[in-house]
Amino acid sequence: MNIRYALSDTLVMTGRVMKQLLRSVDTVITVLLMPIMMLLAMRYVFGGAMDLGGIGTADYMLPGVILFCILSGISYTAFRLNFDVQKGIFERFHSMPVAKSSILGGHVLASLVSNIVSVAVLVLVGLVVGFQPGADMAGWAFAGVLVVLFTIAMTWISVFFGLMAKSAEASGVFSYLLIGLAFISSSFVPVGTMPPALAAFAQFQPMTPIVDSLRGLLLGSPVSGTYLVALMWCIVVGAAFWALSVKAYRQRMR
Amino acid sequence: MNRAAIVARGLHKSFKGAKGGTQEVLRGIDFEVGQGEVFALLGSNGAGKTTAIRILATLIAADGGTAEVCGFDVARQGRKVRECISLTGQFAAVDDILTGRENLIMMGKLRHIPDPRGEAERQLATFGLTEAADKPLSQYSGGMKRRLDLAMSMIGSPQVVFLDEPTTGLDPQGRQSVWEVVRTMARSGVTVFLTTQYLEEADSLADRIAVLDGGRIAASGSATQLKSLAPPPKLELSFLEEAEMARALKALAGYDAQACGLSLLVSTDGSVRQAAEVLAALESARIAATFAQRPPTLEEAFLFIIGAGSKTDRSPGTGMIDEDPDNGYADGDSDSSYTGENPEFECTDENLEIECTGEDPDSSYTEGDPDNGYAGRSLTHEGALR
Ligand SMILES: Nc1ncnc2c1ncn2[C@@H]1O[C@H](COP(=O)(O)OP(=O)(O)O)[C@@H](O)[C@H]1O
Ligand SMILES: [Mg+2]
Repeated sequence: MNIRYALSDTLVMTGRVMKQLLRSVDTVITVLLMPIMMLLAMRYVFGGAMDLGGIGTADYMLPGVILFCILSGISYTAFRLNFDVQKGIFERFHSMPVAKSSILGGHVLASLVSNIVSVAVLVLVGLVVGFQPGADMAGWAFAGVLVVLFTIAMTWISVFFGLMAKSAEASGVFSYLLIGLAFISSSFVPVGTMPPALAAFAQFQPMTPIVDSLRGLLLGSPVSGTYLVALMWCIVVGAAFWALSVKAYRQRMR
Repeated sequence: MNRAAIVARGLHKSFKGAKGGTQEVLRGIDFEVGQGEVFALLGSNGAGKTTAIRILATLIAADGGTAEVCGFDVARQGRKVRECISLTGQFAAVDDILTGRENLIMMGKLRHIPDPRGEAERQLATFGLTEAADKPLSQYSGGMKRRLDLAMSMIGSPQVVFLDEPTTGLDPQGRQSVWEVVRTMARSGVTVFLTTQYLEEADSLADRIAVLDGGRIAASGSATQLKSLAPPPKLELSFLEEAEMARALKALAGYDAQACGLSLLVSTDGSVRQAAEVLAALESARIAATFAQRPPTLEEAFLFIIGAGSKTDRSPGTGMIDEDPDNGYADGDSDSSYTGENPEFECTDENLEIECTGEDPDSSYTEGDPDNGYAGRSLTHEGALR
């Protein structure tokens, strides 16, 4: 019975956040249009000037743009959540017989759903502009799992900063840092083309194995070792920020 | 079943201040609220009203003492308590992007009631919001938002309703409509626990009032009982000319007399002897005046009660001002406007008017822009500070 309530509460909370997302025009634009523009720019503006080691421009760029898409998408979780804290909406939920896990859970689930949708749209646009996937069913499935895990991990980072931030505007700053991290990785250029110091950093930071894995899976050209590293990063980061968030939540709601 | 709906015994709560010190907000408060009663916790800004409500609504734990709501212990049976209460916070906790109806349906689903839609419809009708039901809340006025907030609280028929400063920041019209709503709630038999800074509000809504000051209940009882705690009636002397009044002031040099227009309010101990002395003093100076006895107003009672409180309880060391920008509670201004020793305090009836209705009408909840809802919170804070 308790589990059933927790589930139904989580769905209600998710529905609430989804409605908020769908009804704010600027959110839809940032979450969907920005990555698409980025993909087009990478494909048609910058791509031609880059040496991508023989991989087609759209093929090379799409995974990086997917990362970018998720990283800008998750920042809304911090924004909405901070807003809820500030407005006392969480406090109201706390005074009700609502499963506590559903309060953050709804935000996380909504982020997951909306990001999956925008990634799917992005992939479709990719197909239109020349992305030629080479993945088999298993490849697609693993790519899906990786996207889901990555989104969840990044969303927990967003939750944490949403809880810590003093204002809704300030809550999104972290996502620029993450986007910066994505740029200093193999997302848009091979690491080998960077200056040595930067290349060393890019090689060992989490975004590189994640984007390499995604690219390998989608193109059907496995890079076996990196999968494990990518999964590890997602799980470790996700778990760490989940724990931090729960702690921050308790503190903030006291 | 004559059980109390709310029982608080010796509640204590301290917060860690900005600079490491602790601030004792509640220093042992006791009260009991009967089922179906409307109870007002009256106190100036920063007195600890919200803290008390948050303890009773299971949002925070008390450091000491016990509290029962609906017969359940707030510390150990939180879920049971939450099933029987609802809380309307000081700042309308509504979802601006959703419509009124959607907000209500969401509440119904979260309370796991059988027919959320039907219940939403009923509450919309009760609270006069049917017409605005399908507009997003960003288009509601402050008063409408507050009403929806209250309607959300009534979903699922709670037995005890907590209303934290339900009218702070509303214009007179909004306030009036919220009062109506609270009366409707009371008639339906729920127990209402409300907090307010306004005596007039407590007087007109509550069966019983407790005055919270300096972390303690300084007094409690019906409005009439509180009045009886006030200083004895004053002698009101009225004159036809300034000159006469000036002479009277001289003749009454030994008395506490406050000028107010062409009248003097003279404090006495209420005895016939002192009254006779005052009148005799005027008579022997051949001053023309009429006189009347003026009973203390509720306002005076309140000032008297918390004035006594501040003299005994508030040592200078515990300056309860918490300006810590880290906690959302920047309102920590406990220098209320109700200082008991206000030397200019005269013409009390007018002051009552000013205190109760004179706050900034600009500070209502909505100010339009749906996108800056979060700025609304600090706005209303300002409003509450007057
Ligand atoms: N979570 C908190 N952390 C630190 N101080 C707090 C906290 N909540 C309330 N306070 C302080 O306790 C005092 C009483 O606050 P509150 O209960 O909100 O008063 P009221 O509702 O009567 O205006 C204020 O000085 C406020 O700054
Ligand atoms: Mg308060």
